[in-house]
Amino acid sequence: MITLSNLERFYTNASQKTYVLRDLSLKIEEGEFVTIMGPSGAGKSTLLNIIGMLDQPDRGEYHFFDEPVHKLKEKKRQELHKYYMGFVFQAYYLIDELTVYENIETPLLYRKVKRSERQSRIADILDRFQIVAKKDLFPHQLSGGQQQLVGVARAIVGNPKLLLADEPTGNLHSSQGEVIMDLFRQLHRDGMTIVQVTHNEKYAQYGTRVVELEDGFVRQDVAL
Amino acid sequence: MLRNYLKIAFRQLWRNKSFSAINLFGLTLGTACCLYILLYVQHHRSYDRHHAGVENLYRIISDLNLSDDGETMHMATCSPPIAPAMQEDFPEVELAARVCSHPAIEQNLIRHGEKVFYETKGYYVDSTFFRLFDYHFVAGDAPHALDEPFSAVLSAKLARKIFGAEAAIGQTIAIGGASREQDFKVTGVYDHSLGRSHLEPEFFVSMNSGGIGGYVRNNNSWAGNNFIYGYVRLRPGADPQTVEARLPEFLQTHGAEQFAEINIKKVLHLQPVAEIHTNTGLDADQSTNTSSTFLRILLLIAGFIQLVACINFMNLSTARSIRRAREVGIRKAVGAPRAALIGQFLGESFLLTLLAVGLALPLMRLALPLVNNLMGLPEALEWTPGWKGLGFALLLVLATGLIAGSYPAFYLSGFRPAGVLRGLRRASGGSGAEMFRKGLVVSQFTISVVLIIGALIIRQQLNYLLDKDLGFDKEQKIVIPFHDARASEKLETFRSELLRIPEIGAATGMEKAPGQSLVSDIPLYKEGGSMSSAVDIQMTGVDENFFQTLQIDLLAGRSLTRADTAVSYNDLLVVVNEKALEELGYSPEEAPGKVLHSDFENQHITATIVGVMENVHYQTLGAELRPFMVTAGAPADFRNLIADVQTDDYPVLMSKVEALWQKLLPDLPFEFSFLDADIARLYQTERTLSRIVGAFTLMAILISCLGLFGLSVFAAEQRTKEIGIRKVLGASTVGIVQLLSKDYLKLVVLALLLSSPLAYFIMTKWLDHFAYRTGIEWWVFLAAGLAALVVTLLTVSFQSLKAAWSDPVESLRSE
Repeated sequence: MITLSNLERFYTNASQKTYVLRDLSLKIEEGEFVTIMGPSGAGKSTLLNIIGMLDQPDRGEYHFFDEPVHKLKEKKRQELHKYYMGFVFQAYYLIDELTVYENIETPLLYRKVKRSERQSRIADILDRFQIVAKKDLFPHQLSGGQQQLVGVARAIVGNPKLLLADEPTGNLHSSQGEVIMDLFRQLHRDGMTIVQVTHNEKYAQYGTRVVELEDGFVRQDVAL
Repeated sequence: MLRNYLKIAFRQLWRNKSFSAINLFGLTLGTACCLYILLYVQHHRSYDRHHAGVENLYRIISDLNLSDDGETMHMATCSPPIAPAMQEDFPEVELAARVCSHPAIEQNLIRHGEKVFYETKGYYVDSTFFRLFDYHFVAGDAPHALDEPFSAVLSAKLARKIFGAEAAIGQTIAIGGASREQDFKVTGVYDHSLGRSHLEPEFFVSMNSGGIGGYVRNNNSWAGNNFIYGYVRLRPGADPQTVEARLPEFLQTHGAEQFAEINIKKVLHLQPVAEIHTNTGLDADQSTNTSSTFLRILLLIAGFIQLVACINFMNLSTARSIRRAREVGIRKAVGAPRAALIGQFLGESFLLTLLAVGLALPLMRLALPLVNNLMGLPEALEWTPGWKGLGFALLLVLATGLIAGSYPAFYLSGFRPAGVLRGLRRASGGSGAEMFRKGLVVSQFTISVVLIIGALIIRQQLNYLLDKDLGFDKEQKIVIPFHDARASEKLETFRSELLRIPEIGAATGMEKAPGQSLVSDIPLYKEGGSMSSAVDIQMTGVDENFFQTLQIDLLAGRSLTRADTAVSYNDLLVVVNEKALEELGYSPEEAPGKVLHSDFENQHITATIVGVMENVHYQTLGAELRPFMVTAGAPADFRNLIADVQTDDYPVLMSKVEALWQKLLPDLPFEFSFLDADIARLYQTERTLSRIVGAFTLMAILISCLGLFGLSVFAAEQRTKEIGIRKVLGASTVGIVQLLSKDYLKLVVLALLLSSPLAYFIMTKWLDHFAYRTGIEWWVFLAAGLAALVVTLLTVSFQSLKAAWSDPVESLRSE
């Protein structure tokens, strides 16, 4: 599904190059649940953003299925991103001005899904996550765990092929974190490909494979 | 999608109340100003657009040269036989009509039963008039209303004034003026519902009713007697230029002899009637027009104010971008294409503009009477929102929304999600955006300072015009008009009895008082010269008390005496001004006793100089001083009496004067005015401009300050941490305020540097329109700059102080 070969990503600061990723190659198959680990500054989030097409590598190749992403135009990349990716963030990143329902609805609007279809899909997901009662609340009226549930709901409401999660449990305490991880496990069993970044050894165990980064290199790649 | 945008736009506005309030307030004020100005401009541009075939309707105007090297006079008028002859001679001319009023009188006396009063704007017109100009007749038959002699057509307002609720048609009224009263039969009543006209008429009477009308009809003067307004309608498709090109030949055919005899050069032009009201600069125009330059200046100011409000929106939106950046990042991460985000942000600005226009419309409507009053408009503007008006308001929404929203929309939607979500500062507006914001603030302040300087200079010029020494004393003088020939017969008696009232120091009778337009002029040449070297001298008749009452100094010779009164109009005794002597080539000392000559239509006129007066400004200071003389006139021709009064209690004095009037002229209404007020009225346009620019300058400053205030709030917010650290390190309150205010002061100084030359350039151009003008002084720029600085400091320091007084522990903890 994902083939990364010889990726490089660097920032130029006062004529000095700072590498975030160097010569990184990685293959991820459909149906995998990959955990990316590593110390701060190892390039985990950058890698995730590149996979999610929110960022581009400075060098190297990225194939998503058969599409050479590194050669695609911005517009086409955005299309791929829109239809294939779901994102979950550490800080939830819900839109403050929108209700739970409207937050979940947003990606469907951008996908131009019809109204009736939107309603049924959102109803399904609210039901599945047991947050029906919260649908008209605004983010600031929810606890962190509830917000992240909404975040996950928003990420998968459009039926993406790939779920990308950047420390999804980083701002949660353990009981809330486990709820989210159980959810991920369930999604994976239902066939979703997942790539998550985490610092938590325990949550890494939910996945099928752990990739450890250090200074922009893959230090270790272990299947569980 | 749209619903989603609207929803989020509403919630954004609601959540950021201060931001929305600042923007909404600014945009509402700006839009209200804009709409008012548009209404004002639209009103003035709508004059005479309603006549059927107005595109082919022209006024015949004349350029006159009275001597070989004299200045060309641009007259709104022409000689009596020209218009009808054009209809005869030119196949292109479909119809012609003449309009005239008696040149010697300002007002007409109207009498019906017990009611007697004066009315301005009455015209003698040819019977074809209503076939050229469209008036909505409330009663009567427009095309034939003036076919009969001694018929009159009244405005609905005048008809109501005379007859009340009674039907006007068929009634008889007496109209008097320079000659004896005549009876006229009312044959029509019209209102102004079709539109306004440059004539601004209150009544019309048929030309073939004797008096001045008869004079016009029997006149065969092709060169002189330029006091007629002639109108022609060309056939559809006829080219006015072709007609104009044949006019010199036409004049020669009819009047070659006359032109040669009195040495007048005359060129006729066709002026489109629709353009008359927005054209100033013609002599002897019927009404005070509003120049299109003035209207364009107003439109420019309207645009400026709206731009200033738009800049607020742009600035505040981009300053707030740090807050919005996260939302942009999220939306992009869930799949929003850039176009959708641009749409969303534009939607927000459109919504805000729509709200602003929605508020501005009723606001303007409510404020209209107040603003009309403030602007000192002679007639109230009214707002009737038709489809056109609403369409225009919608257009304004679109334009404003687009200008205000486009930059924030493109700027915000350009954020890279990976960057903003990680909280990179760079993503929320690099130095480029910062520069752009500063540039916008500078342009706002440049506009404001230009307006301040403009307002100050206009005010100065107005004061200059009002305060300038005119060569006579205009203070504490009352002017009593004698509009009627019968009244004039009693003028001398009235004058001598008036002098018995102790508060009256002196009194003088005259044809035209200072400030009233002079209609008589004679081209005069020196002994041994000819008409080709004649100097055109304006004149008016006065009595022997003229110099003493108005305190005009004589430089040489003597004053006029009662014995000087001309026995015949062909032998005049005159006191000339210095300017006339200068053009004739005499010194004041040698002038007394010299005889001047003029040949006019087989007549020989002589004018003997008995005295020389200083250059009195008898006419508006807007025009260059012209050669002028006074002659001892016959009291029967006098239309004004000026009295010098010394009193603190005008009501008591004026009741005494009125009692005297009632005794002598019991059946004529008494009127009076103050000479200084009459003269101040000459500068009505400048006064209106001064008020408008003043009011809109305040608006622009207010709106700019609102924006600056908003910006300073965000700047202080952004620098909360920096301020906290500085305070922990021991910075004083003053130091922090300085730190935060310094940036804005720099911007204001830059704006001042940019605006000064701009304002200087614009105002020099404006002042060039005046023959007599104040200089532009350096302190004006300093004052404008200081005003801008003080206002800026006051606006910004509020936030700076708040930031400086904040608890550093509090601000650092939040990090």
